[in-house]
Amino acid sequence: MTEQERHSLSLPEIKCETGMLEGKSAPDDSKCPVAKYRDEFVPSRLIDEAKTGWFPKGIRSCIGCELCSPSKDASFPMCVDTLVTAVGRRDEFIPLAFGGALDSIVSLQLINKYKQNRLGWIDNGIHVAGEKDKSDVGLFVGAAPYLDVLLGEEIGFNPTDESRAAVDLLNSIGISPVVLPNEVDTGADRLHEGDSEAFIKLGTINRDLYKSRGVKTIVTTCDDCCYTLRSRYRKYIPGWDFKVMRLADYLLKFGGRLTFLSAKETVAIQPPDMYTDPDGLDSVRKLLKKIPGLTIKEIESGHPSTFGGWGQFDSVTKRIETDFLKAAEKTGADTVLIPSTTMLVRLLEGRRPGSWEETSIAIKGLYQFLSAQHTVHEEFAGA
Amino acid sequence: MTAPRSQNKKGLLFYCTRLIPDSELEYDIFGSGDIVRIEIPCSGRVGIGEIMQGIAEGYEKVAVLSCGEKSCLHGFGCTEAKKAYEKAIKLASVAGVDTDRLVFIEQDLGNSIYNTNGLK
Repeated sequence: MTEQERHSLSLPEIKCETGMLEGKSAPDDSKCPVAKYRDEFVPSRLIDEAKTGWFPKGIRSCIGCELCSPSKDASFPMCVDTLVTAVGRRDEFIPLAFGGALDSIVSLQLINKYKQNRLGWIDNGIHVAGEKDKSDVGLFVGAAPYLDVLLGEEIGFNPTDESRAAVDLLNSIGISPVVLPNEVDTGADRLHEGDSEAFIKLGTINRDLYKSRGVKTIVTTCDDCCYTLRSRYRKYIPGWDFKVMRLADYLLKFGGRLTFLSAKETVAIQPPDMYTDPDGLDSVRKLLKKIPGLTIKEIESGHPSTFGGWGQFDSVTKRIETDFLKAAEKTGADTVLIPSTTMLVRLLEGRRPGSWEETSIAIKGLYQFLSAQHTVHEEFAGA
Repeated sequence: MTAPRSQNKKGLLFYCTRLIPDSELEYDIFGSGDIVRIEIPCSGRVGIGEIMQGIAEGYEKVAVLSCGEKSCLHGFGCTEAKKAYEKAIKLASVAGVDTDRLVFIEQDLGNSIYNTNGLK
């Protein structure tokens, strides 16, 4: 097989379940946040390029935000996944976050012989299911313990603080979630590199670990993890039959008795979109409405709720992040609440205190905010 | 700069181009066995990514040989390399990897005594 043949694709190979490649539905280029800054990136043109049987290299710039997808059944990011996995790993430069440190951690997790020490953030103030206990609900923490090491000191925020807040909120509605001591990465970055073998292996490890603890529902504080666990795992990991929910959705559905202290503050939130809220639950707003005295402002729509999970730390995503924060500032709110850990880390990382990009609006994690505001129900306070 | 695949090599050594790693020092770090040596313009070029990649590629030990803080030609190389090494130690610890597999050596030029920081 020649080099040229290896890189070429046949249409049956790239036939996408979304039907996007058959031309039944086309992505809406005008909504693409990447196309705004990267002229050569036009989603519909990339699909046309793929139809010729060649791998459209530019597709790697997709941040997977779903904004251009015409409907739930015709997802452009899913189409990107199909194309990337059809070609497999290619010898081309793919930028990796933290110089590849996190990718190396994934490689170590794939060896699956190391006993991780990733639960250092669990203190006596919160309760998780014991190592041998079973529970219906599991909390997916993702790379947060590693991001604590990589960024905690620099940005003055530990991503596991969001996980801690999540456990605290779950405790307040009477749930002690399963937090896996040997949980592995979702593998979304590996999938995007074309390494579907590693992605499936990681997914299988997570599936077996959750099954062994009797988990039925997985909740997460990270929208990127949630998207991968809900959409990609269902497609690629056999036997992945868990219900995957954002923590906000879970709290809205099962946290009826959750009550909050009043707060005289104005906060900005992002309107729901197909990436974070495919079922249109609008749970973030509904949860915040339970806080007496809180004023909620909505950021104008059209901003993505992810900045790409696969090493896109380039000038384009930086400008998308800046646009998002400018829109948040425009609302006149004191604080912008971010319901996704990855997005929160990206925003805080780029705007460290004292840097020229420091913003006038405070950036906070939604779950830490909720955790600080909620009152303890008598039943669970041991009263 | 990426760490080459180990192919059952015992150690990976990143060293500043101003230093010459001698066999005695290498034996102290890695014991007997094959070593892959990577010469770099300054130890400050070794990031957390390279150190972790060395571990992930299967090297038994990954070492960084740096000039001393005072003798670094660029002034910041040793400090940066140390920062990367310290973070790599923490990261390896969370990942469940034996931190003895990571070694940092600070060697002052013209001084035959090695500062065997992190050396067992």
